[in-house]
Amino acid sequence: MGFVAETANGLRLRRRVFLSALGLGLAVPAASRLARVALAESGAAPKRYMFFYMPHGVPPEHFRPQVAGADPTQFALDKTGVSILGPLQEKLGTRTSVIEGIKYPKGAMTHEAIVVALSGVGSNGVLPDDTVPRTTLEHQIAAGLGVKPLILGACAHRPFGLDKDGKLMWDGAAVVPEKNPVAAYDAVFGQLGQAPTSGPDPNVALTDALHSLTEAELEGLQKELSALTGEQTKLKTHLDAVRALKASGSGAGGVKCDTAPVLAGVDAIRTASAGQGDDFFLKEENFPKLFAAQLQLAGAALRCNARPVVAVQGMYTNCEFDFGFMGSAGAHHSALSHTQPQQAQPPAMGLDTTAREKFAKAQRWFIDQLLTHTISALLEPDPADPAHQVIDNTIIYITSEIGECAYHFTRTDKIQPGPNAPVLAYVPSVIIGGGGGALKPGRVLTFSEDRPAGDVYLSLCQAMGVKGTFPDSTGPITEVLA
Amino acid sequence: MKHLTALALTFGALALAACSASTDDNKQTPGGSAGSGAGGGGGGMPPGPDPSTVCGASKVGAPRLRRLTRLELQNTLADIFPEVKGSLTLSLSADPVSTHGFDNDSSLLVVGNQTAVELDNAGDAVGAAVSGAPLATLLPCSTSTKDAACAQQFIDKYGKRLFRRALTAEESGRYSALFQQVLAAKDFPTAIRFVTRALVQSPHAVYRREVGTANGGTYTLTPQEVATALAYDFTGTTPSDALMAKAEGGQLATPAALEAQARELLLTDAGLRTVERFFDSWIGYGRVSSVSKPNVAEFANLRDQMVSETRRFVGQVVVTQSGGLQALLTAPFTTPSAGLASFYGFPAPAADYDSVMRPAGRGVGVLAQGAVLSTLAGPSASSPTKRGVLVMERLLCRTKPTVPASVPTLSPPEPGNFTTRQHYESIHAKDGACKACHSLFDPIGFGFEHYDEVGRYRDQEGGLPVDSASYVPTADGTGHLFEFKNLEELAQGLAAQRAPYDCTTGYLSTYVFGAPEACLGEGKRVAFAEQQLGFVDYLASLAAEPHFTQRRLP
Repeated sequence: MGFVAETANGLRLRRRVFLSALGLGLAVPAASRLARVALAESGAAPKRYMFFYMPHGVPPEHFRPQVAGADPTQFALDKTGVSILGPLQEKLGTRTSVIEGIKYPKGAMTHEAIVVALSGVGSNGVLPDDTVPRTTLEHQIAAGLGVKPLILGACAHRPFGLDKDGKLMWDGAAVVPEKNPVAAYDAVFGQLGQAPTSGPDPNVALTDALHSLTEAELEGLQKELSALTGEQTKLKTHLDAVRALKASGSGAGGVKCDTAPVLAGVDAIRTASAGQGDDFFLKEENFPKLFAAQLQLAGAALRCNARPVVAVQGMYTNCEFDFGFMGSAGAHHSALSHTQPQQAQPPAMGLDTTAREKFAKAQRWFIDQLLTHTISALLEPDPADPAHQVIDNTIIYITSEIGECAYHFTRTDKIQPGPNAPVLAYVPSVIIGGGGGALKPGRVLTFSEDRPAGDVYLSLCQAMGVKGTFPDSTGPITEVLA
Repeated sequence: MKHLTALALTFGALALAACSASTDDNKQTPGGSAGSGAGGGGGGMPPGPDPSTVCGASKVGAPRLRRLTRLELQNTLADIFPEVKGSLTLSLSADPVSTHGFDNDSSLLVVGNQTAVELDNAGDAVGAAVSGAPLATLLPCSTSTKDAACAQQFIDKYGKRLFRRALTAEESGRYSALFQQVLAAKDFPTAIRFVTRALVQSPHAVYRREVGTANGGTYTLTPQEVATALAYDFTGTTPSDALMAKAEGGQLATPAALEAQARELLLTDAGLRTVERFFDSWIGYGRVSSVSKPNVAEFANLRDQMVSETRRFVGQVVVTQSGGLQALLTAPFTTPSAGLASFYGFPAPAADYDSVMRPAGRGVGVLAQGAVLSTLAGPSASSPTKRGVLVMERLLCRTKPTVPASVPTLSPPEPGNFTTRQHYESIHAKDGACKACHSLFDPIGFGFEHYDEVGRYRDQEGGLPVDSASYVPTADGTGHLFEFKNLEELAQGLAAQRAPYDCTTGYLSTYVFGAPEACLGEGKRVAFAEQQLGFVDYLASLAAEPHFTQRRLP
């Protein structure tokens, strides 16, 4: 067990991690591997960030980690057999942190909080406002790194367009995730290893001149229509976007792969969707394969650093896709997540535990998919830092717009599943990866008074080395930062 | 543990406030949220003006820049550059959808960072296509004299088409300068590609301008703006040269001329597609294409046919028969494919999507369409809530109340023990918190109960008799607006009320004018309500409204 023969500090930590892994019931080789990879230290490798959305909350009794004693690093992710984070246990146990006790801003109620969840922009009124421009976490990080984020979504909005229930990510205006993994793959990897034969002219000066022309037209319109105050905001948004376009580069973060990766899921979609229109990407039966392909692409884009910032929105908040395909039959939102007392007969007998277990399995499926299709690629040596795995230089953040799945809490609250004792329900907040050494190894942080979600976002921005701005934040959560 | 005390209180309060069960598959708020959007998503009545508000006299609305929708941009580029239409692949994201269910709300259509990139890419895609082999056709001089004068021809011709007006000298100069700059560094085709890319993403191309020029107390739209509005409002694409010439020649200077032109446009193929798009946005029947019904294996092969059926049905009623709302609600026929007719148990049509009369007692009108019934249902069961909400919001323009934060789902159905209606009534009707809201729309939805989750008729459900007799509640829920025994009587009852007509015309004017402003289309509302006008006539009449050619001063 050579891993213990390190620095004093490393020795302590590695032993703890090792013992922790043993305590979780892992075999010695697995525990050894966990401990070794947990301490990957920062090098000059590029950092990557991924946001992964968990739609419509969780049943906390199948989500909360089990902490042993007072040591926040001693925890198990799987305690009920269907625990949602369970799949992360074996491969990532010590690289997963869970934060308990965050809240969304004022005005964030029910799953409508999706429009404010990632920005810290609340509402002065009763309901989240989806008209105020904002920039969400992943776009702030991308802007800070000077890269173009890869935003994917398998069922990120209703077929007829983007309404409030899908407005999760914002770059000034709400962003529509790319549904087509083939188009996204081609955009990310299409030019890799090839001499440029098409696409925008690489001559930056000419492109800049072109965008300057558009910019001048917009400025002229602003002057001409200065009396139309209602349209000035529209023109300013447009002008800001053109200026951002001028300032942007290719979007890549310095690609570290020589050839385009072969992604079976993307290839399968390429074949299946050939000759079909956009409808293909909206059909319910195609959802699992599209999601898998998107996650494969996310993993490859991160590994190759072709897109250092990636976000995947599997569904809009109240998507009604039937999860029978993975064994939890019923519409994801209305039939699975809304698991309440069936009759509300006094005295309350608690929540329907059978239904909640089905929903837990559905949410666990999302984590399974993330692990299988994305994280597996990040457990490979980092092409930019072969001494470490990609995951060591990456941060994956998982959250939802609500905490408890039936009550739509947007802060910490309490529920009673079944006849058992009440449990606290926290808004899911999970951090995976090493962040290039910027994060402390896995731990469970539980705040007795809710911290604004913006505090987590600020911390993640700091870990990524960028400056973030979130109106609700009070300061970074230092407990997660190395 | 500060949390525990406070949370225990919260939990108790929520438990009291929440419905004990709900089938509401989507949340709804006063500000609009999921749950409506034709009873299935996205919308909810907006905080803005109630579409059913009748003002008596038409008003003039605000000047606007209306960003082209994704569809409008695609149509525009295909019309302006037909030579490359087949080779263009544009990647444009879905447009934001308003609380009315429309994707053309000008207040929501902005050019943010994502759209700016997509417009840039679209412009480059068009530029790449036109600067290739088709350039010889598009710009014959490019085969001989690849110079600035030749490029100027391109700029003048396609600039005018894209801007929907001639370029000013200053604008022309800018594009010429860009051409020269690229030509100096590259070659002629590349310079044309850059110019095209810039033209396509220009704000003058991207926005439909409805501003006009100051004229006394109002702005008067220019002839080009009027032609543009006619073309996009009624055909979803850019004005043809002929239409533009008509406007510039003063042939569209009167309300009557505008109305006649609008009617003519509506009856073109592009016009019919625009009409279809309204109905799809309003009723939401097209959404059936993306839903699944795990218990009905053949549904996957039939759902797209259901869309075609409803599309053809609407076309028959609205266009072929010049029908209005009464006809839409009570037409005794439908237009199924042979496969659908067999599925429904209807007579086979002579050819797919030909009209067939519905058997007696098997529904009437648009509310009995398989696409509507299947969309507004759960995966495995009908949904009186969704179906009731459709009528409440889209035909009665009533606002669905705010749903509390904690709304559980129904307990599992018990086929054979309870019908869906009994199941709903046992929970929604007896619980105070649920009843307050669900009494506003569930009773309407019970009228659909003879139709299962895929729109098939049923007399019995799990061996129990289906009961569709119910009522439409008054707006405050305290009384019965009218009672009915089945879906036919529900549809006929609605057709006999005034509210659905006022509501429908409100949606129509909102759709055409691309903004939820009240009182813009009052001229023919009464005529529509009194069944003197059909849908196409009312739509065309909007071109004769003052708002079509004028704007109020800011």
